[in-house]
Amino acid sequence: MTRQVSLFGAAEVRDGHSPGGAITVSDLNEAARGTLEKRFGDLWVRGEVTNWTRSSVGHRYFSLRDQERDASVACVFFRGDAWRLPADPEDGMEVFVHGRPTLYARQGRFQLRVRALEAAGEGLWRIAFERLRRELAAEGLLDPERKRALPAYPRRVGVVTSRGGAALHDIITVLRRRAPWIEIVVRHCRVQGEGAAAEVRAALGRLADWGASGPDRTLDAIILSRGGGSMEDLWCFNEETAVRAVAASPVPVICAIGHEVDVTLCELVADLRAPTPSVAAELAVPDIRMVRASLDTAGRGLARGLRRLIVRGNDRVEALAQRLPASAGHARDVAKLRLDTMAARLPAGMERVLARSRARLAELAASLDARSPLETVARGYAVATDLEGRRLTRIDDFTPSQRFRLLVAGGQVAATTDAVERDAAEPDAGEPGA
Amino acid sequence: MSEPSKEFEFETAIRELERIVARLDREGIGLDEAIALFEQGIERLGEARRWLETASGRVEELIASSTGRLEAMPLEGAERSGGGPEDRREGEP
Repeated sequence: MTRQVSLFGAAEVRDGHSPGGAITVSDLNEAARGTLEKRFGDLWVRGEVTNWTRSSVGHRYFSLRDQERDASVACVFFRGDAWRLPADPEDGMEVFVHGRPTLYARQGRFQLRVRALEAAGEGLWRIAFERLRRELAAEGLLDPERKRALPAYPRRVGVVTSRGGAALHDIITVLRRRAPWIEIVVRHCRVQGEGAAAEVRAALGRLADWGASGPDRTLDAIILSRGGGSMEDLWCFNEETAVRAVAASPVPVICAIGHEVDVTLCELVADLRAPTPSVAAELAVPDIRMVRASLDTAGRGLARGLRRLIVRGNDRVEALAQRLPASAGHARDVAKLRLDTMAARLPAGMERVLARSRARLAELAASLDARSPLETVARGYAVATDLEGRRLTRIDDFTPSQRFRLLVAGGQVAATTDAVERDAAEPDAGEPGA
Repeated sequence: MSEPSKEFEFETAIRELERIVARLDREGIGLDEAIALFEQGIERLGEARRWLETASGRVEELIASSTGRLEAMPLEGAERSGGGPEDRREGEP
């Protein structure tokens, strides 16, 4: 009650007990508000929602009704609390509100100031989740065919998460360990609270735009992640704003939100879902040990190819030696030169393969030399061959009127046998050359 | 190719290697082609191995610069979470 100096000079008590001591309306309402709030404190109240309205700034006003006993109470749910609502309840829905009975002083109206609202039964979370999930499914955004494959050997990976979170630390650690060549580009965003979904969308968009702004910025994948938390903490990853941003990302998204048991809509529309941030990083890049192994496999494939081509090359040198005596040495030299060139470039593991082939080639070269007619020809002898290149070394190799060739220093001579004169005394004699 | 360059595309090199091996395995390939393929393969293999062992990626954060443009800048504290082959804080004691 207030004490005032009156016009007549005497102090008068304003306690509302006399016309002279009448209190103001605002004093009355303030007093009633204070009494109400002190008397009741925070309570859970159940009832049916009616007349749900949402102001332009995001406050919600509604009435809670007790249908059986025909009673209702006005409720106000300010934006600072109401943003947590995953969905607005429908009229007639049975809800539980947590709040404090109070008085709206300007109108002297009794009301509940609501801090939290939960729906009976499945709950608003489930309702909101299922509603959006059905919508996404109807649009085909959950179809498995939409999932894009990730590059086998990514160069650059984007990460969208909170700057200070454990998720970022885990992701960077795993990426660096498995793929030290990887470039990591982090875009911070809040991962819980009012406005987080819009930040997720903005972060995905900025990262994708940056990635598209130059050939040396191309992102192979984006990891969207946050660590564990309550359903409410993770909720922004079920909000349409964030979910649609993931679905629309031009870069494949790997999504890991919360723990394995938590499934969010962002994860359902992402190209790949991971149970934890660390696993998301593992799925994003190959392990360097696996990459080394695949290089070894490719190396073995080359060695196998090399082995075959040398064997085939040797076969061809051999064939040449039989068919074209004059050019055999040259063909062999060319093949050998090439092998030596290759040997100079061979990594250590493959040298053994080549060494074996070279040994074979050396044997071949020796046998070629032993059979080579060239030296003999150079000394003034001639080598006779048939038209297929087979050497004619004995008298039995010749028949009358046979056409054959004579290899002499400087060229070949086409010849025909006039007569075959067998040496009677020496059946083995008559070889024209060694 | 002497030094692993920034433009080196590992995936491209691997794909080319696989293609080379597949062609080398094919029947009826000519000796000249085989030798050329083999030499190419050895070269790609060497490039890929060198790149794999020397490439060290950065950890950056995309932040708005004073002009409002988004720029990738070294992420503070990322070294703690490292595990890469080398310390990326060059010039520090």
